[in-house]
Amino acid sequence: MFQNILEGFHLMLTLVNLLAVIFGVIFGVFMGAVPGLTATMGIALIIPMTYFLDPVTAFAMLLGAYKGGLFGGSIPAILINTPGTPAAAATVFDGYPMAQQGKAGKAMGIALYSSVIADAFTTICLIFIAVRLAKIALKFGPPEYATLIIFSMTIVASVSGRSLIKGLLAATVGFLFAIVGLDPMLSTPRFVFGSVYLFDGISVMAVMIGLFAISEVLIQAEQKEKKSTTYVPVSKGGATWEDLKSCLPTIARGSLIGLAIGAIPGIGGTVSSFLSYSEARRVSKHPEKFGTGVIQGVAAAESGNNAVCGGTLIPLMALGIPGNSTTAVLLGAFMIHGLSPGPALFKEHSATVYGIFAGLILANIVLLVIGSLAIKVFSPVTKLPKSVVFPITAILCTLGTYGFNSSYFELWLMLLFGVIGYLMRKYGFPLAPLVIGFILEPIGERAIRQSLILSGGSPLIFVTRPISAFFLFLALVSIFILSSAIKKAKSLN
Amino acid sequence: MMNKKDIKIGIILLIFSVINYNIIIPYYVKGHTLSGLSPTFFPKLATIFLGIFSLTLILSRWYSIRNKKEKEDNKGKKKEVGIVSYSSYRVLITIIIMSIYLILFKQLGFLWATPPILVLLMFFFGMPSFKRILFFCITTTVFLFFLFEKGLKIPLN
Repeated sequence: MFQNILEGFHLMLTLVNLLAVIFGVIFGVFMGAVPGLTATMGIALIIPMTYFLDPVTAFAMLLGAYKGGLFGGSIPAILINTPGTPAAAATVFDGYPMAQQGKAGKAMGIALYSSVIADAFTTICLIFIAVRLAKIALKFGPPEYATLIIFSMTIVASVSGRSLIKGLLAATVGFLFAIVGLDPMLSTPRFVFGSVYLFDGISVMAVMIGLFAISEVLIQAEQKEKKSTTYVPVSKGGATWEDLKSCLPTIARGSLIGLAIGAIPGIGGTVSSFLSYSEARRVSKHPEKFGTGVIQGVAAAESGNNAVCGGTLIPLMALGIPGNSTTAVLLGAFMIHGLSPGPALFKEHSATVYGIFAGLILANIVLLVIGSLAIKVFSPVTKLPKSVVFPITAILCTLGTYGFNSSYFELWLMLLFGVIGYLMRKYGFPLAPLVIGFILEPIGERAIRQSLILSGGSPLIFVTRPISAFFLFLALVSIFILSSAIKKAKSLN
Repeated sequence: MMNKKDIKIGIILLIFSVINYNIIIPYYVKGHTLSGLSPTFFPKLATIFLGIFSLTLILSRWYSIRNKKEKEDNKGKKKEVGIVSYSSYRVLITIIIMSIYLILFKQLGFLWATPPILVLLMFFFGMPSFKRILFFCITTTVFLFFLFEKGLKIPLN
């Protein structure tokens, strides 16, 4: 194994490969930092550039873009309350409040360190335990997915803020929005009101950008700027070693969650970052401070999000199964370069595989450097007056939403969700539960219905299978802990 | 004040859940299945939960108001602030500007629709210097156009 890894590094460490990684990471960070553009789009855009490169160089560039894109999403999430990618939505909760307190540099710094550490951890796991972990992940059938989603729904309680009932209402509304479109099993229309534009459902990007960014623009529009002041206090200093040290347990937890979620096909970084955030809040001594600008909140969300990178590559490389849209695009890239991911890949193209692994490690190091530069490049945004930042944010959000699917209809959805987000914030309804309900509903509904078809309608299927029974048990424990925490908080009040 | 608003929202959501369950779902969610759950199951389940949570919100806030009233009976009434305020008008105007932008974006394309809207928004947000408005407006439009149209090959016109 170590011989293979050394050979991989020997193959990877050339000037061309290094330049390819640097280009990939820069492009990925940029794609992630523009709201609406994602790492998946970035990879799809640079695939044609890799046609004439050798596989190791090509994947160095593509995986660099993947890693850069995952981190890049946190930059606008922290600076302008707009998640650059859906997976960065959880970063907004504490990242933006930190920026408003003049700690944007610290927030972005800890986001970068969490991303790099979590990513490095999952890359090592990918190298050493990919095949074994992929086999466990393959044991996941519909009942396991269903109970995992039920367990994940307990996140709602963690991100509901002061009022659990408002959080539950928001999550239910998110659930209803997610139902719009064609039925996942029978393809019959639901809530489409005769519009063909709604057949594919409501775009997640329109929801995210509308809820977080446009609602922020509307809130900022309430008061006219009297003089040209910065919209948040100018950032002083980045993350220190002490900050990182205080976040290490959170990052470790987020990395494990991201690895596990990433290895299970079809769940993705958004669920992982929310789960990681929820767990960080649950184990914290001061859970009530989460959402007000806690550095551990940023570390949890970003480690959970970035750890998914290595996690998703496990089923892709070990079994040839793409776990999300990004790895589906990467699967295409593998095919283009004459490689068939799966167990045979490790035997037939061992040198290339370990070269790619070396590229992943190199991309991590490059991300640390490029990410630090990106923080310096984007930090001046905090020095701009709000009369510049928010009009440009509105235009950028429009372009980002349009660029996602080239659909004018989604622009109107974005504006609609902006108004919904604004009203929710004005009336004290948390936005995060709506997003969680919206993201989890399609996966959960499909899994529950498939499970019941498998069992002939018997719900016992959820308790007779060990993994799904385990998740149900976790959900019950989580509900018990949360309800006792709520009672405790009420009695303290 | 917030409690009363919550009750109003709770009532709106409760009415919506009743309408959704009895009118919208029967008309706009079609399909049945012989095995497993029907396509209407989850919409109905979510609507029932919406109704239950709305009712819980109304009752909890009503209970909280009643308790407060008992405590503050002799303290006198606080003056209520109207819902439609200066800030509401500003938000409404922003929504109208954004709507106009979306219409122009489709009709004229990004390059022609963006500059006037950016000027309008920057002025509306309180940018005092017209020179700076013009500078940010031109640089932003040109930069974003080249980035999306030429760089990322996303047609904007």
